[in-house]
Amino acid sequence: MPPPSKVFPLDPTKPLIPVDVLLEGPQGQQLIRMALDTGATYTIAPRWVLQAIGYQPSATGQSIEFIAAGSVERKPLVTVHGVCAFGVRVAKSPVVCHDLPAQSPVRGLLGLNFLRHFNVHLNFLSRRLVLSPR
Amino acid sequence: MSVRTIQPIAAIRHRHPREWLLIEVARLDRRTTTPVTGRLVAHAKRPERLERQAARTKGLVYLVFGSDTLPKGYAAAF
Repeated sequence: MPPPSKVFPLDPTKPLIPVDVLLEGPQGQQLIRMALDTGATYTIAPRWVLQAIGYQPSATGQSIEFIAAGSVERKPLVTVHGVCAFGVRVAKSPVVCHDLPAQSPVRGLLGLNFLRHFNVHLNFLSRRLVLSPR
Repeated sequence: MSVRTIQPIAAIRHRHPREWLLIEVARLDRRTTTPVTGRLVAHAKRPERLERQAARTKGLVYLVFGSDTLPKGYAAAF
């Protein structure tokens, strides 16, 4: 029997969908607030987080052309040991190294390469986010 | 109240709605990946100093803004 769906509160009045994300690396874990972003191909985390958990993101390693609103930049891409959110873990997940502006109330984005492992139902009318195994 | 007291993280955030908070996590609900309680280690108007402090801290810490709202006059397009 597949694991049951998980239900989380969803506040339709907020300007983004916040989610707590635990990133795992060879030297530890870091927990930061991200925004759920179905428009982001990859999960995005700041440089200091990736360095703190044991990675050295640099433009000379693996990288990707990163299309943001208004610019295209080459950004480091790091495959972390694990990305955990909503009580579920995706192992060996690529994460783009990118620092969001200080004005942003979240430090990263939880992108499609995490979300596509599940069925995610954003039910704004009933104020529920439902995460189900595929 | 001492900043070293273990408190619900929602209460810490509620008291500092327009600041960045560095919280040492005392209890993490692994079923939801939600930090439940913790100790406020530091707070600041900008995140940079707290990021450096978080990177040096042993144990699980949580860097979060006090509220999930954007500054007045801002909108997000990530």
